[in-house]
Amino acid sequence: MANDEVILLDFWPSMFGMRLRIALAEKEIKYEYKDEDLRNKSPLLLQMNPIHKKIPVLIHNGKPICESIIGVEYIEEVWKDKAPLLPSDPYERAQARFWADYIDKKFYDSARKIWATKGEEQEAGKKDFIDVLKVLEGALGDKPFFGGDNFGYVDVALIGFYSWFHAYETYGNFSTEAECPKFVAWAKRCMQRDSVAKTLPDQHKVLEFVKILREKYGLE
Amino acid sequence: MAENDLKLLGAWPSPYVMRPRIALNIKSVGYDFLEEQFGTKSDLLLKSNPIYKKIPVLIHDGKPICESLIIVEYIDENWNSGPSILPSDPYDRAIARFWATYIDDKWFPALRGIAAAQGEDAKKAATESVIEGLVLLEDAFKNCSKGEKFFGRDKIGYLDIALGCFLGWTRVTEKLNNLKLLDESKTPGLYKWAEDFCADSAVKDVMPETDKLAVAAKWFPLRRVLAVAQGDDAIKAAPEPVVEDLVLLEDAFKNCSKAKKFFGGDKIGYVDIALGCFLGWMRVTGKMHNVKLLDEAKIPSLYKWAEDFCADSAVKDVMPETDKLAQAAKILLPKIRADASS
Repeated sequence: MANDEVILLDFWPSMFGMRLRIALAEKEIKYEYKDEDLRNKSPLLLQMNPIHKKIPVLIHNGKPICESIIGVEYIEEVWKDKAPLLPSDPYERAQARFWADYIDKKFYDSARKIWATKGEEQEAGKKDFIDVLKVLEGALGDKPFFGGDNFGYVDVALIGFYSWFHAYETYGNFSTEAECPKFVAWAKRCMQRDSVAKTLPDQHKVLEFVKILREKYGLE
Repeated sequence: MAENDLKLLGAWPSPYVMRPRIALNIKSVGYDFLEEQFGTKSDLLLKSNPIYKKIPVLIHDGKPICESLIIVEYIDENWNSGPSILPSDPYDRAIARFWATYIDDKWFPALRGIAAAQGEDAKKAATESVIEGLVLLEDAFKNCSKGEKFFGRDKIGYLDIALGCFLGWTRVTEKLNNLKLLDESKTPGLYKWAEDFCADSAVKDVMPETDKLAVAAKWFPLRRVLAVAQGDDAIKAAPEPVVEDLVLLEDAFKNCSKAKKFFGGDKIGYVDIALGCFLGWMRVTGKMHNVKLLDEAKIPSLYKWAEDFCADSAVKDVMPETDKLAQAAKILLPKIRADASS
């Protein structure tokens, strides 16, 4: 669509922002990327997401869409002729939404405990995290991607977290390859796509970022 | 019998279960409603929703769909010849989904926070956050309805369902805490919308009566309070909330029974069963704590109801004798206490 103005308010390490970056790339949509300083949020961000004041925010022709999964659905519906991310069958769509919602409910909190806490809380987080990975491996099964043969909605919802895995493994002291080899194989398969490879930040850069956060929390 | 092979696992007090029921009503689709018993999870539920083990679950041709709003979207997409539930414009859809997420993640937990608040200050703070949320939702209502009756404009849609399902619990919270949450002066749009929503043909039959919900709200969590109280002070204090709530239930009973014998009217109904099954334990607990829970002076209607309930032919043979229960209690209570503290 010509004359579309698309702006993305984001923060480079955000796995939620990455969802939108990947979806936009898959659909080959041109957009302006604005990196926010979360300690000093821009007037635009506060105006576009007054309720939550959070990134990512997708702004299409001046109208904001907040919440990353809602943004992915929006992109899917507006630019529906290119690279569909959701299947057409209603049951398959319900399954895709279920897993994206599961990732939102379970993945972030357990992963966060691995790098942001210590002692018992960290151990509990690590255990939950590996359980979550195993559940997701079960959902993936023998398929190349969560939706089947094609890269899609659930893959988009999940793959951004992979850029944080070096940090999780370092601070959690475990190897994802050892615990969940299928998961790692899936992640590497996704990384072969341009949209993913060009979006995900370098894992070492993320590790450095997490180190700074840990210093702030008094964990280093 | 449903034409499709369509089953909904649920429970009548659950607002989340109401969502797919309204959606199926909008589409005029028949289904088997399989009621889960409070306190237990059926094998079918555990098999169909192994991840969360929660209701609602829609099972269509043997295939389960979980999470209430995901089920509503499924219903909308699968029966796409009926009236549409989500708006057609992608931006309007994004806005509807945004507010539904806000309601589930922020607003309803705030509403539940009122009941959980300890002390006047906490209750006041919790109430304010709910009302602030309603003011935001009033604004959303104005923008979405564009002057018409519903968020979905001329007919009930996704966001009406997402918020409307909580009206029963909103009213119960108002009643049990002596509060006004939906205030005609503060949120006039939502106030009117609530009336229109509850009167809608797709909603009327699945919205539980406020008094019945009040019984569910108060009694169901309390059943463990008596069993798990430890220490002299706790044991002395434990019956107090029960006695207070029985007084509230007396009122609910009068409203539900409408001068007949049971909550269900002339015959025993769901609420009678839900409450009546605890009569044995109430007698045992009364004995153990040396307190009269079913006090004829304080709650005469419930006292009479308890007698009628236990005498009913459907109940007589299954109600255990108080002495036998007392013996069982001696064995079971230490175990219940151990479970509660782990």
